[in-house]
Amino acid sequence: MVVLDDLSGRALLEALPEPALVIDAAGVIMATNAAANRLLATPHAPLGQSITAFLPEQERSRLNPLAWLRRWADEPEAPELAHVRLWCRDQSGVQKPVRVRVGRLPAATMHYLVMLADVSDEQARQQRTRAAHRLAARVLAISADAIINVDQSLHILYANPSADALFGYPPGHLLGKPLDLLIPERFRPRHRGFIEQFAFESAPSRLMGQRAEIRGLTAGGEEIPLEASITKVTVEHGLVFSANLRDLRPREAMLAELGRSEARFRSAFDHAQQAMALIAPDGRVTAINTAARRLLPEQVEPVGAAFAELPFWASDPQRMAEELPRAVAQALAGQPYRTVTGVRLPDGQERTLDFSLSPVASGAGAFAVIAEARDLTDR
Amino acid sequence: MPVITYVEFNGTEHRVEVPTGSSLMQAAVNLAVPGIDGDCGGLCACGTCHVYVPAPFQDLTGAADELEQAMLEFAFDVDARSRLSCQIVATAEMEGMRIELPERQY
Repeated sequence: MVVLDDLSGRALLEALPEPALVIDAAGVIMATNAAANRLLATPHAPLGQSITAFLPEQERSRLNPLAWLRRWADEPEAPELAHVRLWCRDQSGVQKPVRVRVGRLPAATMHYLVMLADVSDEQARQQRTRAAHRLAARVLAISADAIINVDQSLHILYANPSADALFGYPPGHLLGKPLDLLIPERFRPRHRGFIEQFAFESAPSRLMGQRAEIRGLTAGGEEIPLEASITKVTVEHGLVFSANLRDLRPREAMLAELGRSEARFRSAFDHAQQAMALIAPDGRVTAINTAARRLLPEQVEPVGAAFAELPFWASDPQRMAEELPRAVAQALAGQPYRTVTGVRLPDGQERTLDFSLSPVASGAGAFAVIAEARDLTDR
Repeated sequence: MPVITYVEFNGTEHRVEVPTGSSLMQAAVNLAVPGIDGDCGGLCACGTCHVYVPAPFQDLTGAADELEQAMLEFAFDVDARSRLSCQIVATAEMEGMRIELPERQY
């Protein structure tokens, strides 16, 4: 039964910091050290018991732990020994993952030394890291912004799917490529200079809006306008730069369309026969068309002036000055206002106008009032 | 570059464009598909990238060799469809393939 009968053998086993057991070819435990007894939660060495009592076969698994121990004893450098875990069940039934080393004892070739390392903490840490990594990876993967990480030599370490799509490359293609691939040639020296400067700055990040617009270069050779946030992080061997890039083309296209739309409405507004003005909630004029300007003396600049105080109302200034602010507020609240009033034109003519105020609303409610005047004098 | 669907044990589906020549494990790990760990990094030495290849696709993936069969012993709920995804290399013919993931890797 006793295989480590010489003192040095026992001392050696006991001196091992890792839980260690000596088993025979059939898996019967011949000796243990104190660390093993602690791992197995046994008050005394469980001599004579099979090691499979502590390394049991698992439900839903085909693994035969004893067969693998024998295999590893013959092949102590097997690559899987670095990665696989066995499940150890201690005397009180608690399961814990263990990493295993096995050696054949030279003095007794039919006996094996089995060392078990409890890797519960390591495994829990690994699972937490993996979960955090998975979350971070998912956040990067679904980001609408393109995200690119480069090392200090400006080679790409990571590009998210939006980056691949923005620059028109297949997944994985950008890894290891120089960042210059994504920058129009004439901007490359300046961009390198910028990164070098940023590397030495005390600010850890620069956000979108704090940087001028930059230009990118797609796989198809197209130059695209981009907005960027960048940050730097020191990792093992140096700095890693991470950039969030936003494609400005949709915004530019939207602004251009907005400009065209504004021009269309401005043109219709300016050329209308009817006199029209836009009034802000504070009662000031924000826009006025050509027909409305004709109702005013040339030297009067109506844009920015209080609508109620404009010299439109010369024939009945008192009534309009009192009524208009209230009418504007009413129109902003959604109730149109309409009246017939007289005006005196710059050339001295008296005219009668059908005058109305209507709310101008967007999704969030009325934000301005449009004033319209139709000349009733000759009707 | 075939699009392969990884179906998690809970039914969640991940459609992944797997670069031709890349292993199904590597593509899943790169995109953080849950349920595939790949602890050894593709050496066929850990058994933590266990997947099920349904019968209709088994001709495309081929069969597990002796080493893979041995390492599958470390996986749970192994059956006739079981493979280690680090040993399956994507080909264009795998377009539309679906593979299923086990409840646990270890």
